[in-house]
This record gives sequence, structure tokens and C-alpha cells, in this order.
Amino acid sequence: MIQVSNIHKRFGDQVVLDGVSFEVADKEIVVILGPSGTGKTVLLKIIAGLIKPDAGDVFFDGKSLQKMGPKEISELRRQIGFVFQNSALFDSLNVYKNIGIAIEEHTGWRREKRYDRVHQILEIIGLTGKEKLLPKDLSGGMMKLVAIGRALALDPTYLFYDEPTAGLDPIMKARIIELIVSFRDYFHKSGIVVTHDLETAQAIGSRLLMLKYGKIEKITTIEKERYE
Amino acid sequence: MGLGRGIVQFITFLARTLFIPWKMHRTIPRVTDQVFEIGIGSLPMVIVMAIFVGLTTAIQTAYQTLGIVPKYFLGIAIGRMILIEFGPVFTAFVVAGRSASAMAAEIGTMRVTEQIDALEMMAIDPYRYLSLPRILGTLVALPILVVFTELIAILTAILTSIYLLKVPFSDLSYGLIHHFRFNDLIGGLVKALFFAFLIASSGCYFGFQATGGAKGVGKAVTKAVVTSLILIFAFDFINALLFFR
Repeated sequence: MIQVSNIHKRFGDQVVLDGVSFEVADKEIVVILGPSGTGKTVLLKIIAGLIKPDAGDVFFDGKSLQKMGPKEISELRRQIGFVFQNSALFDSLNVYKNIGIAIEEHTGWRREKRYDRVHQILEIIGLTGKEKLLPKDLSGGMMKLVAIGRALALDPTYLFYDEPTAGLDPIMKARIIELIVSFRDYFHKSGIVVTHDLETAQAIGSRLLMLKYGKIEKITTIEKERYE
Repeated sequence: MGLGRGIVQFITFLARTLFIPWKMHRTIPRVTDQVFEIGIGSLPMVIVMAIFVGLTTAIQTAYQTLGIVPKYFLGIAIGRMILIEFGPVFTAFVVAGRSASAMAAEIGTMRVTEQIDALEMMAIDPYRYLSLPRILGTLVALPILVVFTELIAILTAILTSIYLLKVPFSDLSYGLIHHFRFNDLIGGLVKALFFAFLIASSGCYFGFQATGGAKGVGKAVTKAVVTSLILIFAFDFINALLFFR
């Protein structure tokens, strides 16, 4: 369970987050919805520990992120898969190595086992046979799929997605939404999805959080949102 | 950014890079890649530079000394200047221009495209993964390149002295061999180690500091090259003051 408690963040004079609080239950995906520039990505990075908040805290199963030492943060991050907005694939590594880098760093598995795990992931994301391609040879959608594959590598408890469907064609968008939902329904992953796209939000989340002017303006459900 | 704050950040960067578990079984393959990238990659440029250093050193030294001091002095001057000064310093310039810029550009691009954030999210220490292999790789590659430079420059200077300046080989070899000091060679190589550290740490540090897209990366590259050149000059002066007076 993730508890986000009273997060404040400002850059210079600009208040980006002004007391944001919410919870993500186990096996739940919460969607944070809001127009561009409202601090959704900053919020997601604060929850992941990439940016320090000015005030407030995030609790993972009751453990305070702000009180964690480097070793605990490192252990926590192995339980988090993060899909960046621009995929953030490593330019010099091919698809296989991009997905396998965390496995190689953290597991101590033999080459065959690593190979099997990466190929299992490639099958899940539908990119079998593309393992030797470099990021420059991939389309935007394929890059996003590799980023999702890389986030899955260590079989994390939580998956965070930053604008997972931005700039994708409708077919790829549907494919990625289907993957995100399947990770929750079949692999029981908790997650946070940040998006400005209402269609994506409605397709993915059981709960929607509307972020505006640095505050959570409304917490609603898909059904209620559709009704309204 | 103030100079004081910059120095504190640079020291913090070094501490984060050097005082962490090195995990050598994972780091060594990346160090090897860097040694080849820096060493083999810089070799053609180093060879060309060394030939011109040898040519110019022979001609300039002959111009300043012949007719004033005995001819064997040409051998002494060529040997010592190249071993102590020109070999390490000019090779460091080449590596600073080529590798410090490449390090800043590569790491800077990774910084602005969130690849470093991605490393952190995978619990991979970006300093151990990116900076440490580059610093260790440069520490290995630069002294090897310096030896190449010195051999090629001295050989070129000998050939220039004999065939262009008509100085007898016996005079040259007397100056080169009888006045050769092993400490000059070692001193030059130790200097190269310090230069290597300054070049690689500047390149990586400014890469990590890059912000704001392509322009930010461009600025990081400029700062990395300028800073490493200034540090080479400054360290060379301090070294001369302490050990060659």
C-alpha cells in the first residue's frame, strides 16, 4: 500500500504541489489526471524518491520514504518499475540489454536464466525477435513497450507510468492500456498512472485523481466520472 | 553558480563516485570498454600530434642551442622536454579535447533524457555505472598513450635532427642516453595519472550537472573541456614547482 501524505513542492516562486494526499491500495491502479504542466510528473517522481518534496512524506507499507537510508531506498526501488514519459531507454544498449540490465545488476542469475527471463518479458510485451534492435531503430510505441518491459524486469510490486500513451497511435494506445490493465488483473501489480488523456484514464483506473493548481481537486471513480 | 559552491559540488561528486562499493566484477568489463574507447580511439590523433611535437621540438631546440652549447645538448633537451613536459601535457590535451567532451556529452544527454533517473529507479548507482569506469579507464589509457607519444616524438625528433638539421647521431645519442634519467620518465607518467583523473572527473562531473536539453548539454561539454584544460595547466605548474626546481 502506498500513502501519499500532504506533499508540498515549489520551484522558485512557483508552487507546484500544495498539500497532495491520497492512497493506493494493493492491486489497485490509481490514475492521476490533469492538464499539462500541473505537476503530475513531479508528483510521480516524488513518490518514487527521485525528487525530494519540500514537505510531506510517502509511505510504502507504512515505511516512510523520507526516513529511508540509501540501502533501503535501493531495496524499495527494486520493487518499483517506472515507465518514463519519453521511455528513457539507454541509447547504446539494444532491446535485450535494456530489459536485462537490472536483472544482470541485481539477481546474480546465470546467463541462461537471464536469457529466459528477458525472453519471457519480450513475449509479454509482444516484441519477440526484436531483441537486437537499438532504441534508434524502434518506433515511439515500441520504445514505450520496451520501457514497460524494462520496468517489469525485476517483477516489481508497484508500477508507475508517466504518460504511457502520450503521442501514440490508437492501436498502440489500446495495446498499452491492455498491458497495464493485465498487469493489475493477472499479475496483481499496484500502480500509479499519470496522464492528461481522459480516454486512457477511463480505460485504466478504478480511481481517478484530478490534479489542478497543485491540489487534488477531485477523487472520483470511473463509473462516477462516466455518469457525470 | 559560485566557485565555492561549484568546488563543494565537485568534491561531493568525487565522493559519490569513489567512496562507494566498486563492485569490481561488474565494473571491470566497463573499465575495459573505456580503456579501448579512450586508448584506441585517441591513438590516431596522438600519433599525428606526436610526430609534429617531435618535428617542432627538434627544430626549435636546435634554433635556440646550436652554436651556443655542444651538439649533444640537443639530445638532452629533446629527451627531457618530451619525457617531462611535452609527452604528458600534449597527450592530456588530446584526451581532454576528445574524451572529456565525449564523457560530458554522453552523460549530459543521459541526464536530460531521464536515462540517469531510469538507472536510479533500477537501483543502479549512476556514479558507479557511469563515472567510475570512465575515471578508471582514463587512468589506465592515458599513461599508455603518453608512452606512445614519447616514443614517436623522440624518434621523429632524432630523424629530424639527423636528416634535416645535420646533427651527428653520435652526439644526439650521447645526450639522450647518457643524460637519461629514469625519474624523468616516471615523473612524466605519474603526471599523466593526475591529468587522467582531472580530465575524466571533469567530463563526468559536468555531464551530471547538465540541465535543460541540447543547449545544456552543449554548455556542459564546453565547461568540461575548458575546466580540464585549466586544471592540466594548473597541476602542471604545481608539479613543476614542487618536483623540478
